[in-house]
Amino acid sequence: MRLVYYEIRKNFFRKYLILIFFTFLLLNILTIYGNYRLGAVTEISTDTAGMKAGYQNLHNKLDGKITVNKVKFVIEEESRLNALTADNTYSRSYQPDTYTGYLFGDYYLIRKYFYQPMQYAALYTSNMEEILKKAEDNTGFYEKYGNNPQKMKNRFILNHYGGRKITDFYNMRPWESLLDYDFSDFLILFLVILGLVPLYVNEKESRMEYLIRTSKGGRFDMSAAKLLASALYILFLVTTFSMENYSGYRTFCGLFGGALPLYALETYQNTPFNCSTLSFYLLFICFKLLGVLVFAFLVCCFSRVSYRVIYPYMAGVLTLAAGVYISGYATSVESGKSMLALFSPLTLLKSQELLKELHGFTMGTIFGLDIFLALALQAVLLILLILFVTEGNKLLLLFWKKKNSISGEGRERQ
Amino acid sequence: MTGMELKKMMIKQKGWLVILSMILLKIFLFVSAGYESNPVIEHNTDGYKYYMDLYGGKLTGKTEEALKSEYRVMNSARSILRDLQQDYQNGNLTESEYREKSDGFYEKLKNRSVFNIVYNQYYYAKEDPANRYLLDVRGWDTLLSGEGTDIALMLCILILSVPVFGNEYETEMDYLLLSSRRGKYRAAAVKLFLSMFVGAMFSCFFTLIEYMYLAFSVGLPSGSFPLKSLEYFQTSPYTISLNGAFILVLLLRAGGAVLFAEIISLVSILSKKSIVALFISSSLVVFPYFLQDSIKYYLPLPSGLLSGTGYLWGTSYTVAYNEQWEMVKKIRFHGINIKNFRLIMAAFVLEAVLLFGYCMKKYSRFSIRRRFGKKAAVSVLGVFILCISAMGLTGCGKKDGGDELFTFNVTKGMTYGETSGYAVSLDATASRITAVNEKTGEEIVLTRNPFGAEGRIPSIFVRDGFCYYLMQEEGGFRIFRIGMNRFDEKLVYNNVKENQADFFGLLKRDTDLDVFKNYNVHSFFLNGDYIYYINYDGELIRIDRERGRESVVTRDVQTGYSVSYYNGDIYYVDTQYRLSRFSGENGQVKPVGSIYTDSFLIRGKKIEYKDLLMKNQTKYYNLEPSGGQN
Repeated sequence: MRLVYYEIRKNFFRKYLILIFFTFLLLNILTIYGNYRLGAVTEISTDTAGMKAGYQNLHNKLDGKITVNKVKFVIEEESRLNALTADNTYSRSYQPDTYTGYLFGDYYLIRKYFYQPMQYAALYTSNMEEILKKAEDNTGFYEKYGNNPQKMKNRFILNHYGGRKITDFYNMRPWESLLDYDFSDFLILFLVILGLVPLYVNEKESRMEYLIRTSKGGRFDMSAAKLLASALYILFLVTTFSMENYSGYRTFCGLFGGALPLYALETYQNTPFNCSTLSFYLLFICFKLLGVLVFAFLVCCFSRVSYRVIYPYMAGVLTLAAGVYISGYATSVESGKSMLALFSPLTLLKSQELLKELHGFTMGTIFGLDIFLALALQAVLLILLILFVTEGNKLLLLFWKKKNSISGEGRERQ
Repeated sequence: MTGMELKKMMIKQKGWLVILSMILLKIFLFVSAGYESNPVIEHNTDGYKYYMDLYGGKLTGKTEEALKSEYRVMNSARSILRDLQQDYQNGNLTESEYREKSDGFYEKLKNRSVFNIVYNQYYYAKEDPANRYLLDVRGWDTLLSGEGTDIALMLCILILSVPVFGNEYETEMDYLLLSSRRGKYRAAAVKLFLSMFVGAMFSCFFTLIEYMYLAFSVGLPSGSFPLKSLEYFQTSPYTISLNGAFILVLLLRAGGAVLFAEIISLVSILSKKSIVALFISSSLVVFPYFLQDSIKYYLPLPSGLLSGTGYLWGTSYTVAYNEQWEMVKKIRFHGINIKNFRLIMAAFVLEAVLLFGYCMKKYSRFSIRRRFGKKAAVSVLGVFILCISAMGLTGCGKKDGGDELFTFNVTKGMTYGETSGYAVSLDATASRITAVNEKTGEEIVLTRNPFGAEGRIPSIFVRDGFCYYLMQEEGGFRIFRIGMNRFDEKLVYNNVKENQADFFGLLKRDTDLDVFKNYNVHSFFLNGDYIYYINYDGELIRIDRERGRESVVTRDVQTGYSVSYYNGDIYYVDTQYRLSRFSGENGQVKPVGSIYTDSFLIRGKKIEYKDLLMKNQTKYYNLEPSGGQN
């Protein structure tokens, strides 16, 4: 453990790294705030003061459990304002007894931010029942014609999409935006490259590696200690930035309804997961952690085999670019491409894309979700990388001994 | 000394390998991104070029008149052809008269979609004919309208420049150098000049790669035309030519590369660590790309210069609504006027000079305070504050589908077909495909996705135990195949852009433009080698299934009228109401005999058609080699 501590102190307690880390934290929070102010989270934040006030009032009134009265109120208001504004002859001047100050503003506000989202929540169960009915029908149909993959897929739908209900009404847009927000991932990956590229190169450049190898524990423990130290560094980065994202969104945009199921978010209406939005966010961070860890160990490998900082840096940046590009195919309809994307550790950073709709595969009699396949593949990749970094030591040591003995012989002859 | 430094950079530090791989990366990225265009032009490039040859250049009264009359002809061509055909059918015209009168309209109709694009360009040009010329915009748009991140160039400069100083510090050579005669100032100056020169050279070279590729692929014609001929530059404050704009961008980018090399050198000298220099320099150049609007062009960083193009754009607007729910213009990009541009450039030159001096000072550990005894030592912060304030002054597989030998009548077959004991039919309005078992009468729905369809299904194609269907989506279409045995579904063809990667927001896609990239498919069919589809522009297009490449077979199809596939050949009614044949063997299109029809069907080895010249009598044409009507 002491070795791990020394590794952490040596590699990560560097002045420049700490300075950049805090700069990035600041940059991240500023980006979240900027997104909020520019209306990228909810468009209401770029609207007029009147609209904002009306929006807040109505949310205060309607948030919480969906009741018959609330639904009735929204429907009645929508149809009243619709009738008033339909023929384009409504008054365009300021109206004191309205929510926003203007008639059309009221109509727009109610329709966009309350009527449509509430309609989604209220009709979700019946819409899902229709899907389930189709899936049940399909299961029987495909069973009859011996189409096993389709049968399994529809059975999966039957087993995982039943009994769904959205009981509460909140503005869920901030949650959607939080799950899609990936600028912090970019910062994390940059910090990973910055922190891990010198991991081995530094010792080679200062010729410390020879000293370490001749010491008692230096031969094998060092790599394990380095990897453990790197893993802790990654854990620290991912949790810090995730916590910052969460608190940033919570402070600026308000994160309500975290206990509601994930499908309460409209873009996740067909998600195969039934967990709550908050627990999904925690799960999502874990997925992300694995993805970053695999990428980080890959950078460790580059550092391991290189003698100059510049090459692992270049390899890291190019791998990052290639990995992001490949992960762009995660939801492709072409199975070859989507399969390829699952091999990229950076797909786990966008794993929410794999869970917005049902993306799965069939193997024999099993229907599995692509996300689990991606997790399994990345876990295997992680083990291989750990083996390469730790056990690769032995191979390198053999090579080193041989080289030294040759040069030693040479010297003797002289 | 320069030779030595160059040798160190290129040979010892394997710079040549980096350059080679970055050039390859650049070519790969640029070629795979392709050029700006839309399917209508791509399906008829010859037509587009023809119109550009005809009307290209400055808008004169003559060309304007010609364009307008062509527009009138285009709009009425279809009805004129119909009338002529009626006259011919009623015996008021002889065949040669009919041919003579209709040939011109027939040829024109082939190009109507691409003409609409040219006409739109004319509409843009006529608002300011002195500064807006008509030209083929595809190449120039690609070259001048984007502001993407040139990752290959950045990496190239970064990797070549970081070790120039970084290596000396890491190997502690700096002590040795500083104590030698020429190692103090001259070595530093040579190193700096070399980084700057190499940066500028490669930035020019990379921009020239773009130019050459576009010149050879899509062409960069009429470089002497004014810049405002491109719609993107409609509010640009410059009245320069396209070539002038390109040279300006080239120079700006070279300037950006020089500045970037200087920043890298400064960070290397200050940090004395390669990793820090790599990281800070790449952050400084990449992060401004995340900024919206024109902010990055004002920053004292190289990103704006490396993009270059933004300095030439004018202010651009987007639509927004005010409190009264009236449409108002909202600024999307604040253009940079000429005065500000000059100030920014002057500030950049000042910054470059100061950075150079500061690098020299820091490397040689020269102290102004010590030398001159004045309190004039300028800190890094000082340089940056100076630059920032200067900026501040300026303002702001083996294919299925089997063999080729079969008959397929599109008009009927696009919604109905029989195979494996099932009668398959499509309800195009509901995008729903159903199959009826011919023995048991059982009706089966084939579009069974419980979550509903993702797009619109305009056409199906049923053959050999499979039902193929085409799903039209935004930006393209997909063809799926359902096996009628186990009702399993497989993707056969896809041209929808699949990759969703936006590189954490670095790549900004203008999704509004995808609306114009619609394919408007009417119907399709396929054999083992090719997929054929007909669109609403009257084009018959062939896709090579192995390579996925599209080619237009003909553009005179009367969409919605009869089309049939027969053993590799395609028969259709052309816009002159002639029965025409595309031969799959030699790729030629020819009228079949002198048959005038608006409806036909292939039965066995005969074409059954309605003869327009014989009062719509049903007649037959023999498809066997001898041919012949009866």
